[in-house]
Amino acid sequence: MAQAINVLMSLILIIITSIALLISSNWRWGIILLSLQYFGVFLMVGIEWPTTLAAVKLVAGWMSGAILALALISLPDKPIAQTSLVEDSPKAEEQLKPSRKISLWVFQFLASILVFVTAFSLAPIIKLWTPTTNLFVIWTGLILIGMGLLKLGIQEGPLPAILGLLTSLAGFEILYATIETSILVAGLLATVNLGLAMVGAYLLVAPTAPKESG
Amino acid sequence: MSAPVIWIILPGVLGFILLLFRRHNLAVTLVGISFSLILAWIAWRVSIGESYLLLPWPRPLGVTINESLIFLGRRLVLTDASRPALMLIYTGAAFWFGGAYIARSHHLFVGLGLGIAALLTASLAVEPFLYSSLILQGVAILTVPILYPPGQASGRGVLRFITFQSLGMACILFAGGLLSILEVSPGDPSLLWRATTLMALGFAFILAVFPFHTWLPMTAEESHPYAASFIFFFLPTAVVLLAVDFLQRYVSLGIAPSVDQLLRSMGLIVAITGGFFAAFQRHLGRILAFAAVIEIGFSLIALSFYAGRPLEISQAGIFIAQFLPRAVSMAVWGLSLSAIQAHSPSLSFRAVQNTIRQTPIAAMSLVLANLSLAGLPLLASFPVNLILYTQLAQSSFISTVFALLASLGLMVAALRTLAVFVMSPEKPPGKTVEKRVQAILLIIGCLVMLAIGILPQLFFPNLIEMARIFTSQLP
Repeated sequence: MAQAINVLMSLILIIITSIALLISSNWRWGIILLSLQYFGVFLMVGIEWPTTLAAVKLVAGWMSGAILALALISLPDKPIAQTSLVEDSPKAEEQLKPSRKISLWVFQFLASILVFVTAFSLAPIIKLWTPTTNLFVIWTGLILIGMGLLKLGIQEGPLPAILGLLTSLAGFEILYATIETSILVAGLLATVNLGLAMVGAYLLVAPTAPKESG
Repeated sequence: MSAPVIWIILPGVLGFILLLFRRHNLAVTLVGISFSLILAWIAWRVSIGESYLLLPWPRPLGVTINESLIFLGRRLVLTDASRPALMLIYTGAAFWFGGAYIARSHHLFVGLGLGIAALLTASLAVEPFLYSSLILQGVAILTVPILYPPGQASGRGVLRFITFQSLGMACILFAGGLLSILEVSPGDPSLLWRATTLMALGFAFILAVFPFHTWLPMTAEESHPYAASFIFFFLPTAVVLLAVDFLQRYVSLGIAPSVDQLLRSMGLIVAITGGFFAAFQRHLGRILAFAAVIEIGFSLIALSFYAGRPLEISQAGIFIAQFLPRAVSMAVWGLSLSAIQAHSPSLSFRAVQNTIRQTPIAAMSLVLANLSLAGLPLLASFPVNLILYTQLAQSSFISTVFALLASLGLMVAALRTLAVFVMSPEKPPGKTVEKRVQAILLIIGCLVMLAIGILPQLFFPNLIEMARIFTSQLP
């Protein structure tokens, strides 16, 4: 019973954070939501894995967020908005009229509902592949994969792309945890997460770095 | 001493050290070339697993290169059959580093390039196989600073590249997990089918198979052409070698039945897509990218000749023989593009009109490299392409026509490029600005392309020998 409540709470946390991460246009909120999302991932992975091993996901996720935050703080011209859906400028969304902003939020919210519907309908098929896995875990994994891909698909720029990629990868890690419990794989996947965060940080900072002549 | 230490750990460590000394560009380049050549020479001359007398005096001192190394609880294994791949990786790296200084590549190029070579070797060596995808993700991460050095804004290409590589890694890892379940309890054909589909999807992502090839032209447009040509050659080559390993390992699981036809169809689709788009491009970098797409297609076709059955030397010979002309042509192409870009605002057709007056050798080398990859007779790729077409014709005439059409697309691109190069611009052209060292290097590259095309008998026996070693110890 306690585990069922735990799973349900994690699922709700992940649903809320993934929607908020998609809609949020402030990079600070983006990083905070990513950290909360990784807490949900930790709870979900903890169902299949020992808590100490599942904590690797939490630490790696939080460190990824920290790397991105440090890069953003160090930028000389800090982006207020993390995303530019309409134009290439990162401040484009900030300049949108309130009515357009609301319609953008509604569109993103409806798109995320579509992702949830798809995830719920696909989950029983995935359950056939790994019959012993909890259906809630599969839902969570698929939702995160879908929301990450949605973010990758509709938002531009290094930060939304890396946040989307980390979200998708987190969903994959939840699903993968059900078939693989190797410590080395956990470690390597954590390294991949950190590597992606570093790529994101590099892509944010590199344009402002001085050029070294070739 | 173990083989993974020599070909993975040492170059990885040296690559890191070279990054620290990157300001001394010439010295770093020379060290990178020398070290890569030494590693390639060792791979060529020394059999892995045999003992050698290192010092006869004052006391006999022998050394044995062991095959495996335990690293973080997993095995890195390089057998004697890995030597062709090692030769290919490190000769290719030395070849590219050779032109890096002249091409004005970024200071990070050699250090990161050596690191990439080490990681690609590790991806071929690691056991179990599924860890390779994680290592390839590491390669993708290291690739980003090479393509987009500090001071340069990133574009959409790099984000798409890293996204496709990450999704490919996830698919291969999950498929590997499903296959490991299958190895423990075989008998579920649907699980095998799902794992195979996921694995194919993963390879399609990583290998830039249509429709996941879009990062190639985008990256070619946004980044330094020499660095792009390096990645366009090395990444697909390593992934294809990995695919061979995968096919050989999982043949016993019954994965084979129609995989050869699937690979051939995929290869043809990729090649024809590349050829079609190459013919209509108006940017020299993008044409290079689509040439890389065609080459990926041809690799898949070559792979299909022996997929699903034990590897034979003659068939592996075609596969291995593709790498030499491809490496030479792509390096010459990348170097020519760098030379042209140095004196041109961009590589679009409008910007490079009448380039033949400014950089005549670079312009002609670029057209020759383009025609070489298109398989024009007397140039490097022609002998291998001819064998490929012949083999393909034995199974399907229509497939051969499609493969020829792909090459034709690239040939059209070469002719269009030539037309633009000799086109008169509105303002009068300046004098020739080509650097002597660059011109010499390009002329040598062109002569090598001609030599491989005219005298294939000088090169191909060695490649067949490489194929023999390659096939000797595969499971």
